[in-house]
Amino acid sequence: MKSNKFLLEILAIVLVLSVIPALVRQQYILHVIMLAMIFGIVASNWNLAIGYGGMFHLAQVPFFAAGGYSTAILSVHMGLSPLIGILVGGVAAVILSLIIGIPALRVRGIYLVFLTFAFHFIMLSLVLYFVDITGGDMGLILEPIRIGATNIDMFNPVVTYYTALSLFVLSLVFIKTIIDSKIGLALVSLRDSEVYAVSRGINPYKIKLVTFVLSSFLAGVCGAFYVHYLRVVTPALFDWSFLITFLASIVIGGVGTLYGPLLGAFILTFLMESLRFLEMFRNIVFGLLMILILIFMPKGLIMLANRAQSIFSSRQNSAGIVDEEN
Amino acid sequence: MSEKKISRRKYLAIAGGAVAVAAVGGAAYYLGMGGPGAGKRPVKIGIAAGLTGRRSGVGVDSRDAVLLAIKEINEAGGILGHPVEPVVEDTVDQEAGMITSVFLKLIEREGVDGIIAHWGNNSCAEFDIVQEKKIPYISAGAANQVEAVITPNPDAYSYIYMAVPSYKLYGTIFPEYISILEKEGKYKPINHKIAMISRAFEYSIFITEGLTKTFTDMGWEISIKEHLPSAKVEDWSSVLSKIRSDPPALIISTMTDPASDHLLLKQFLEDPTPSLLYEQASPNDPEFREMAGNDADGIVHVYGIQKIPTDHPYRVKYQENFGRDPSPYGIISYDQMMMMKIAMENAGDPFNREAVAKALLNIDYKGVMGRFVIDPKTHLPKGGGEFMPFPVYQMWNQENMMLYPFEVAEQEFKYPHWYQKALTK
Amino acid sequence: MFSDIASAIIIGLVLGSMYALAAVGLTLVWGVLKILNFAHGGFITLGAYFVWVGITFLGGNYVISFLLVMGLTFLLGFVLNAGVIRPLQGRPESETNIFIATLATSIIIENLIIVGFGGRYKSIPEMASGSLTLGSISINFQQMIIMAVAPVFLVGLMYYLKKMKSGMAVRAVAQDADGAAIVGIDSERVYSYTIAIGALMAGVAGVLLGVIFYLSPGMGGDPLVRALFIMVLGGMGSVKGTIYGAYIIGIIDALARYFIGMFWASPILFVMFILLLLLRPQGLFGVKV
Repeated sequence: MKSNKFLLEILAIVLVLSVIPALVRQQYILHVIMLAMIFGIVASNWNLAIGYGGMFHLAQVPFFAAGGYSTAILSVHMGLSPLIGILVGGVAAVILSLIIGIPALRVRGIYLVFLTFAFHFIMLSLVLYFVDITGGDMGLILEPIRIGATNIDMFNPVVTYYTALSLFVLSLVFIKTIIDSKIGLALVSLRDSEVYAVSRGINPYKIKLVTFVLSSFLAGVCGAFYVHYLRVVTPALFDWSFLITFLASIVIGGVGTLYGPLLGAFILTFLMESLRFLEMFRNIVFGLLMILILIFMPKGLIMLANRAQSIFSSRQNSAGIVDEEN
Repeated sequence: MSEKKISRRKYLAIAGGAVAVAAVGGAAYYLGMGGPGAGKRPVKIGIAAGLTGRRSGVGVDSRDAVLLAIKEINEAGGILGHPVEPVVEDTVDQEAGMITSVFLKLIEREGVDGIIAHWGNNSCAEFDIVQEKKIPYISAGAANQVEAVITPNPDAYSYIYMAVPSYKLYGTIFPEYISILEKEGKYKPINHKIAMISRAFEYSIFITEGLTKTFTDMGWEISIKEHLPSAKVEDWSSVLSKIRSDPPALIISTMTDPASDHLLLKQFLEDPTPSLLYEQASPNDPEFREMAGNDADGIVHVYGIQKIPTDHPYRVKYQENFGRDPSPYGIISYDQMMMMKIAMENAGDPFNREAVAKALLNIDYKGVMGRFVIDPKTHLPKGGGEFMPFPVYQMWNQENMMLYPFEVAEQEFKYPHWYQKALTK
Repeated sequence: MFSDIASAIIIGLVLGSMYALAAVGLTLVWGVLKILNFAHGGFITLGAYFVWVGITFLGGNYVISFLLVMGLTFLLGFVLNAGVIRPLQGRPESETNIFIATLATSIIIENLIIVGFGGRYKSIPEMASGSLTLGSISINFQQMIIMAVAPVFLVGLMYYLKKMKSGMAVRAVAQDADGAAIVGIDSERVYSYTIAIGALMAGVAGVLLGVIFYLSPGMGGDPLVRALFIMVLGGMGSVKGTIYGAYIIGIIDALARYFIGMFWASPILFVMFILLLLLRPQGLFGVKV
């Protein structure tokens, strides 16, 4: 019954998003939607750790960048096919998440923020230093992903758009599966009451590590897709603007909800594009908006959508499952 | 004070005007009307500048320079009678996705007829878009990367041109000059050692590589090498202690940052060594001149721009309009816009993009910076000789004096003010 | 070699003085409110720009400009509390939300500075020019001023916390908020005071940073990152520990710059930061959490 509802929701999203290329002729719009989808995927996977797992960390940008740089370096220096590179990006992010997660998840709260923050800076220093491998400040110029004879790049916006859309759907299913699995249930019970969860035999460290690692995979895949789509990789992948975009997507959309970060990424990306006329005042408006949303709409805009339409009631949905278990 | 106010008002008027034009243009676009004004169809010029990112100083100076050029062009009757309409977009930090958004928006939504950027993405992420959409584009930075991308197949980038020459000459001009001086006995270096200071920035890395290669080929030795992660340096003592314990004849900094280069100079002068100090690009920044004052007397550098003294008419004009002295990008971008105008006029039709691109390739324009003649192999302006000059400058009394090439030299090489004192110590 | 170590230590003390001022406000706010104020870097930047405004428009009077900075950052600290932090305090997820909200505040501050003052470098005229050279060690008067001014403010803060009534209230709340409430301390008031004092210390740090370096809209970022490390090293929330921590980090930083090179000084500190977080998260002076 519930999975049927999810299926309907997915179908609705796919339907809406897949007719867009037929309606708009401007590559600009397709590009912005693609960015929204990519950012949405990274944000919603991060949300798995932040919102569901209660682990506030800053490693999502390093995961994203690790994905981008691993495929870039391997394809430039060893001729790896970018199509495989996408997967390699995901694997690289997973490896990094293990390196960070195994020691780091033993510490909690603000310490986890600091730890992941330090990793971010060390990785950036390495990228900037080893110019021969990473291209340093100049970055690397890449080949596009090829499927058969078709290039997935700027020149084929529609094909690229559908590739991003498939990733988007994949991510949705991936996250939904995790949330509904034993891991997801354990996470929610850990978040709500750790003492109770531990008494029921849940190992918090193990569950958190698994979630942390799972949430890194698609961030790495997206990083790899992103750099091959734009055909360049630069240290800008470590920019704070990415961290702020991902984080803001989660906050604007709704922490700990399935659709929140995706909605947030779409709203944020389109809002920032349509506010371009503000020129230098754009970031100030953005900052104010973030603060206002945090204060007046702490559960994010998804709550408005929830109220308006019960179709998007994913939060109640997952909560409902927990109740049944109990 | 009152002058400042007026210029601020003017600046606000220009900025306000630009916003108003953009707003009206945007509204007109959404309402499906024609462009503003019932006269001739305007030529729309996209200005992609990092107004709010890390390099907002560069971005704003560049934007203002283009707006100044456009104002002048419109006052003189536009391009072939068509008024010019600027469309400004913020590229923040030139991140590839952001650059792509901006260029696609400028081209598809704003329908610009040409784009000017102080520089685009360091890895040229925007090139494929402008080429695919056939929009004449003039950029001005990341020249070595641009050169590397364009050289293998210049025809594939027929819409893309640069306003700054190749960095290659930076690697050879100064060593060449030093060896002439040494041969003629006008400069007697204490040894053949160099302290090389660079940072993780493409301009700095490339120039450092070039200088290192030429100097080591000449038999010099890089005795101290310091590479920095960024331009933020609160203290140079560690590098200076190495320099003081084994003084090199040359200290070369390619930091290209007026703040850290000035601090280096200041801390160096606390206990100077008999070394020449070469600081790339920074001596062209008004802030550097102001802060360093006569401390900077004797600093040498090479810059691929002809001498633009403080009382140069362009500088005066820029100051009158914006209440501040332009940094290099406040000059370069003016020439970029003028290049675009001349190419559009030479093409005979500003909207015939293919012809405009061709006219850019064949341009011969004497601008503020120097003479622009495009090298068809790289799409960069030719440097050296009769083209974009690459003089060796030495700063005296807050002015960069030309030393080399000798035909244009304003004065002879003199030892910097700290040199004798340091030598006798 | 010996003179290198000696001069590295002197530079370490200069850097440490700056880091101490930058970190102490952050620590104080953490100790009392248990929040990470990411707008702290923005306040460092504001301090530097305010002193620039003061000196430029008030005819170069350092003392008045310094007082202006202290007054303005203190007041803006109240604004920060009332507008951003207090509304989010005590809610679920407040730790995360305040982190994001103060991050947003720092974006606002940075961009207001870009709009108001432009992105090009500004500089504060020197308070004192000249330098002292002892053998191969040279130190300029500006650096000496920093070494002298920082302890004045740090000792002043310690004195305030130890001896003055409102300062003792701050400490009481930091140690036990409920207990403080029982003896009639208005914790809301203490919170806003604490944030204002933290902002003031950030402003002072900004002034000193601006004095030896140029001003740019993002200048508060690097000191903030260092301050985070120092805060942990000193034991989260311990003002005294933070001051010791700052000088330790300053000296390590300087030694790394001298003996390993300027590129790796920061990464080395970050690696040490990671080791510290994993092996001794309570810091050198903190109690085990």
